[in-house]
Amino acid sequence: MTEAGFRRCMATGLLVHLASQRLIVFNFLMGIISLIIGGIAAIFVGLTRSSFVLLEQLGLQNTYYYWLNLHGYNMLIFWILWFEVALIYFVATILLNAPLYSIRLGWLSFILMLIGWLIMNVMNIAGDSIVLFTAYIPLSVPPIFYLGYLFFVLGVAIAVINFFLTLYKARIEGKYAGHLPLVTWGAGIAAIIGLVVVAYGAFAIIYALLFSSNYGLSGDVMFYRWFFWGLGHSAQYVNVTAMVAVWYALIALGTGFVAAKFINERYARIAFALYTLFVVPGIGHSYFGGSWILSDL
Amino acid sequence: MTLFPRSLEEWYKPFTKEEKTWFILAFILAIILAATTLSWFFIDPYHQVPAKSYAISPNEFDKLAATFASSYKDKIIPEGVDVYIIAHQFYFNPSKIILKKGVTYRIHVSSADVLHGLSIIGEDGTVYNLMIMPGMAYVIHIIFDKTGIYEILCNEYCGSGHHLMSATIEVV
Repeated sequence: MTEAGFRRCMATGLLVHLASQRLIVFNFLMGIISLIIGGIAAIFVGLTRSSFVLLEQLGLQNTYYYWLNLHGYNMLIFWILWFEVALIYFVATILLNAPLYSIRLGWLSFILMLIGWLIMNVMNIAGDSIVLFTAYIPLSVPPIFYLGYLFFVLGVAIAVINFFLTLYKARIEGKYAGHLPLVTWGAGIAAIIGLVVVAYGAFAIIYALLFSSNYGLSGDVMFYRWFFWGLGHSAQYVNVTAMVAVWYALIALGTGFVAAKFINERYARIAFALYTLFVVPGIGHSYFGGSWILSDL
Repeated sequence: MTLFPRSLEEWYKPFTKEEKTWFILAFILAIILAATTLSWFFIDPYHQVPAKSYAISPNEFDKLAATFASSYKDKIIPEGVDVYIIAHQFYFNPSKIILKKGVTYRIHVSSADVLHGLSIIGEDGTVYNLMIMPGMAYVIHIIFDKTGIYEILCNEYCGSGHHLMSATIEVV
C-alpha cells in the first residue's frame, strides 16, 4: 500500500515521493525556461548575422554579441544543469521507490541556483555582461556576475551531493535490491562528471570574481582558461551522458517496456564508463591554439 | 529492464554477434582517428609552424611594436629583422606589413589588453591560427612561399569591435 507522502505511478507501478516530485518539477521548469530564453536568443543570433531587412527598424543592428551571450549562457550552462538536477533527483527517488536524502538541501540548492540564475540572466538581458560563454579574462564585467555564477555552481554541487546521499540511503534502507537501474547508473555518471564541472568551475569563477573586483590579481589568462574549460567542456559531457540515460528510459517507457528487453546493459554500462574515463583528457583539446603548451618545438 | 533495479545475473549478458561487431568497429574507428591526429605531426611537418613564447608586459611589447611599426612603415621588411605585431581593442599595430617571399621571418605577437586571435588567411584559406594573450609573446617562424595579400583577422571575441579588427600582410 502507498505510504503517506507517496503516490503510485499508474504506468510503471513505481512509488513517487511527493515532496521530491515537487523539487523535480521546479528544477525541470527552470530548465525549460532557460531553454526558451536560449532558443529565442538563437533566432536572433541567426537574424543578426543575416541581411534580414527589418534589422534596423527593430533596432537590432550590431546586437549579434548580445544575443550570442544570452544564448550561450542559457543553453550551455543553465538548461543543462537545471535539467541535470531534475534528472538526478528523478532517477534516485522515483526509480528506487525512495525519498530524497534531504528535501531541505534540495530547496537550498534550488534557491542558490535560482539566485545565481537571476543575477546572471538579468545582467545578460540588460546587456551588462557581454563576455560570452567563455568569459575569458581580462575581458571582465561587474563582479556580481561571477558571484551569481558561483551561487549557481554551488547549488549544483549541493544537488549532486544530495543525489549520492539519496542513493546511499536507499541502498542501506533496502529500498531496492541488486544493481542500480541502468538509467540511474547513467544519470549517476552524469552527476560524477558534474562534480568535475564544479571542481574546475569553482577555481575559474572565483579567480574571475577576484580579478574583476580588482584585488590586485595579475589576471593570469592561462590559469583562467585551464580551469574554465574544465567546467565548460565537462558541462557538455554532462548533457550528453544525461541524454543517453534518458534515451534508455524512453525506450522502456515509450514502447511499454517491450523494446527495453533488447538493450544489452553490459554494453551500455561499458559505454558510460568510457565517457567518464575520457572526460578529463577530452578537456585537453581546449588548451591548444596558444603558445603555452607547444612552445619550444 | 532499464528502469528497475536488477541483479548482476539479469543484466550481465554476453554480447551478441552484432554487438561485438559494432563494438570492434567503433573501437577501430576511434583508434584510426586518434592515430591520424597524432601522426599528422610527423606526416606534414611543412605546415607545422614552430613557435616559442616568453613573458613580457603589455606596455613593453607595445613600445617594441610601435618602434617597429614606425621604422618599417610601408617598407619591405628585410631578412633577419624581427617583426612585431601587437593587438589592441580593436586594431593591430602595425596594420600592414610587407614581407619577402621565401624568407623565414620571426614574427612576435602579443596583446595590449584582452585575449585576441591571430588568424592569417591567404587565398587558399587559413594559413595560421593562434590565440594572443596579454603578458605573453609568441614568436612564430613563418615563411610565405606565395606572393599575394594575406589578411590577419582577430578570431577570439575581444569586445564590441571584434569583427572590425584586421591587418594585412603583403608578400612580394
